[in-house]
Amino acid sequence: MTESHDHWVQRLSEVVDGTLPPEEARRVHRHLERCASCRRTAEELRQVSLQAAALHPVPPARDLWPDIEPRLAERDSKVIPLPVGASETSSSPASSADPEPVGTKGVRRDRRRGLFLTRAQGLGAAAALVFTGALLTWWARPALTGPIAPVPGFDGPPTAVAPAATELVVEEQRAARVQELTHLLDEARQELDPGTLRILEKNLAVIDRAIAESRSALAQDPSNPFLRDHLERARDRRQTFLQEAVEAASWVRS
Amino acid sequence: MTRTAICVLIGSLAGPVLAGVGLPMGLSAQEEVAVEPGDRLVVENLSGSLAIRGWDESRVSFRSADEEVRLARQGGRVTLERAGRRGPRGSVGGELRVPRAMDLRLGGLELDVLLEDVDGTARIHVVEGDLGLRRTGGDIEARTLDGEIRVEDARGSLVLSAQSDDVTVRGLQGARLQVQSGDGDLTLVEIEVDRLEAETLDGDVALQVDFRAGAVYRVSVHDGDATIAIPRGAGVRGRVATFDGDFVTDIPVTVNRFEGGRGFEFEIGDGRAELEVEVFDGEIRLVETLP
Repeated sequence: MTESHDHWVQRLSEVVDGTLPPEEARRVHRHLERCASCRRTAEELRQVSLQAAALHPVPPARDLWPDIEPRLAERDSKVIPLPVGASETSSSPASSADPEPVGTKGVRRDRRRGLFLTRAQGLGAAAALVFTGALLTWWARPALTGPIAPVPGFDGPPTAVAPAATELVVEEQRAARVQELTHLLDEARQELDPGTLRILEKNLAVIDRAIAESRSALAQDPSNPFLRDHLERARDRRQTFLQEAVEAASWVRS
Repeated sequence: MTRTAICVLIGSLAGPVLAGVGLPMGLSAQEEVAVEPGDRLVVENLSGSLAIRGWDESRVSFRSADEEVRLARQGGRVTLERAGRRGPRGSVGGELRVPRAMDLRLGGLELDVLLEDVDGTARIHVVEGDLGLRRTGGDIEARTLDGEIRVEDARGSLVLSAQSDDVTVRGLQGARLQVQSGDGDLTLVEIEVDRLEAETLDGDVALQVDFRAGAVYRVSVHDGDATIAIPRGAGVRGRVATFDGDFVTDIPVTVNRFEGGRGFEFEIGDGRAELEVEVFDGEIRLVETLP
């Protein structure tokens, strides 16, 4: 991941928090329009924040840290085993101690579930939890006498609305753009020769099939981040293709 | 035009010119204009075949058997037009010689293009036609809706898109390679770039890169296989994911982390380069060398 990308990722929790200055917030929103990865991360942060907000603080019955610390140290050096036909560490595909290592049998359709966070996501989640605590404190405080300056693009509590609103805006913008491009292409259709039309429709069919398959898979497994990203990519692909097709059609008409 | 056809085009034009024996067979010197540094060549709405080669002269020359094609220069813009017959059906075939650093803007409905020994930036968009780049040095964007793209020994950043055919890159040194196909294979070998994004909806990907420190490579396939060559000694921090497919590796890997779906992270060597491979329906294979 490049430094510039990290720059945006590090600001996502602030977007969720609603603590960014307006101009910086706008820059992040513009980046979110272009970056599916960050949109996903922002959505994940929002979900973590929402889930955390639903929790009530439960104090531990005793100090757990002395038990946890050595186990964390142990876990840091441990390799997680593959669930299907693979060993913990395939240091050698032909190892006799490893009858079904990665590479000799392969991993097929790993259905293991769980919540995994990257370092950035972890930091974001931590920030979201801290923010949630602050939010609870804020809700419990006496009402302020003056209005709170709104964050651009945010109509309600930032943890609940802001990223969803961002995604909605991105989705609406894309839908509008696709509609516009489709309209332009339809207008040009009569002037395109049958061969060109055949090419365009064949290519659109390939993209639409990929979108339909991705959608169907996502319906089966809505929490799968890979499928969300894959569908997003296919839809971006459709928009790019329509743009190229409209440009090509403009040559014909000129 | 098929792969064979573009090879014929390259072969028929390249030999005599590169040998310095004058004009390619069947072509006669027709048009020539003097140009200034910063001039741009613009070819629009033409169909046919064009071979564009760089040279160390301050002029643009067009050689063709067709006598109706004209070169013109106005305000830093050099154009190639078919006299007396405008519009998209204007057909052209021949060889353009341009200053190596000249920027190029090319577009057409049914146009095959070969760029050779040019170092300027180029933008090529065609509806139907094969595109070839050989020994190019500038940043180039090449898109064809129906045709193949082949690149050999290029430098610079490339954006390549072939909606319904294959893309082959053999030898690239540069900052970035972005390549996509809607319905075709991607063969990317001897690639030395800092950032690579390769995507095909319906086709296979074969990738061989140098895994330089800090580089990021991302491969996405909807329906097809991805084969990644990881040579001995390479350091890779990888992530693979698939919805309905296999992961097979001929190379020992250390699995670091499972993901929530059907994928995991792994590491090879010192993990100095980043690799991400996503295949919706197909096999992800890590090999030492490509077949």
